[in-house]
Amino acid sequence: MAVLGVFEDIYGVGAEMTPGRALLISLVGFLLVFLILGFLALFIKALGKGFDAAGKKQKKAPEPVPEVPVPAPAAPVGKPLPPTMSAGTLVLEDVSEEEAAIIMAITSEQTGIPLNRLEFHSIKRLKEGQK
Amino acid sequence: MDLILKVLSGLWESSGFAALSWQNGVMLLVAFFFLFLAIRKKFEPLLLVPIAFGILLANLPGADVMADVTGGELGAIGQEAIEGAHWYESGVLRILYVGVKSSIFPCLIFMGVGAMTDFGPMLSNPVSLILGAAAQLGIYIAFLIAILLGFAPNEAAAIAIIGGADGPTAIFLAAKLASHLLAPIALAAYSYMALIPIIQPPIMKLLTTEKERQVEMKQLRTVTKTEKIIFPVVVLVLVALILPSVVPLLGMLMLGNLFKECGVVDRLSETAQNALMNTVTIMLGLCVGATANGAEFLQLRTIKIVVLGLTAFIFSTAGGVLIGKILYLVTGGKINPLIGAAGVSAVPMAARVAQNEGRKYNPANFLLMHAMGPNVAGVIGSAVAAGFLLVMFK
Repeated sequence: MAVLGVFEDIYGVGAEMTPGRALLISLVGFLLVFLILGFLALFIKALGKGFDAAGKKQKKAPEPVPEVPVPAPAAPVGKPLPPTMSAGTLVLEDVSEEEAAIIMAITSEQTGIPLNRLEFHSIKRLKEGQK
Repeated sequence: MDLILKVLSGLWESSGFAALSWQNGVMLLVAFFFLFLAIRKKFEPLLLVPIAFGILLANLPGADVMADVTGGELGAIGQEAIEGAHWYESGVLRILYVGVKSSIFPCLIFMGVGAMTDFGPMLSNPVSLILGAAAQLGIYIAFLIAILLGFAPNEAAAIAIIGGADGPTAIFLAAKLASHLLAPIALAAYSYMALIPIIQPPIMKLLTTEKERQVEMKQLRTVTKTEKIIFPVVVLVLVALILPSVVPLLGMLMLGNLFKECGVVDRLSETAQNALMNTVTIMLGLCVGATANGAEFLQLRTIKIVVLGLTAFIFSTAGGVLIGKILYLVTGGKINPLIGAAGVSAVPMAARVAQNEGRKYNPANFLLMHAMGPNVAGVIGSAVAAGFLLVMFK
């Protein structure tokens, strides 16, 4: 079995693929995948930290006083919601309120999570063939 | 009477029945079985239906859908050139096969995969990449065993990539390194991907404790749109500078992802995800199936490839789970080791398996988004592994 490619450069043209060399290739290959993906992980971590820091700076900047009074939140901060309520503002797209209520109830039932621990952002009717 | 007998004899001799070999017969049965699995059992039907039909077409005697009149320029092995014939007189699937041989189809599929992939879970939890790397273990174990079984190094590398659980990558590498093994490798890769819900759970259960399987993971940090746009471009450049051979696959994956994330080419993203992806899937599936000619396919080496593929899958799953266990210990129980199994690519099936297994032991547990991180990292990991093997043996 002749070894090809880069390893031919190392072991010479027509060199045999021994089990030892196969093991070495396997180790080097596995290590390389770890190194490259580990390097990417570090890069992503640094990128994320940079964005988080930038986000915090933006939040710290003084905000202009809103002219229009902000509507009161659905539940007071720090006070737990009643078990039958979920948090957040819900956007309904081509879905009636009754249908949305049923979907939320089914989700809660199926997942075993009480409604007051769930937060729905939007419920949208999919068109035929849409994923 | 003599005339009638001669006519009937002539008809018989020119019919497919006379030319039908036992190998063709077996492959027709295999095609019927795959169609049954795809249609009735819904095992990867989008791919298995065209693959099964490709097998059917290639094994109908006299149809010559994979004939190569150029004597091998279109990828056929052992077919002689016909004097004065043009390439376009070859079989219709042989002409389409150029898309496989040249790696155009796998790369276009990767673009579609990129356009459908959300790297958000991976970006919010970078440790996912380590799990995605660990789940490539099976590739290298299978490579080692294939060498011990007597396969040539290029064949061993092409077979081993089945452990990446990534169909387009397996086809890409097999077409480059061992095109004569393309059919068994592609069929094994897609069959095992369909069987992930059966293969993975016992391994996950065997390697983890009930306490580990019950771990609830914390909510992921929110990833900004800018991060999602920067990611495909920068990662491609970084990886390509280290391992240029990975560019065809990773480049198309990241192009598709950029279409999705940049938000200014919705039409291109939509096309890459749907129309183009579906078109290429049909052609790729048909061509891969059509390479499964009975005489070539029904050999002992096919059984060896099937066994090696399963071995690779098992070790890849084990690799992901074991590194998941190490991370569980290192992080003081914050990582559920089950998500490591999702590092074997097969998006999103492997992530769903992690979710389902997690919920079996803790009904309030939601591992899906956490498992999607290693799952998409596995796609990058298997592409990197393929790039490495290509550098070694091309």
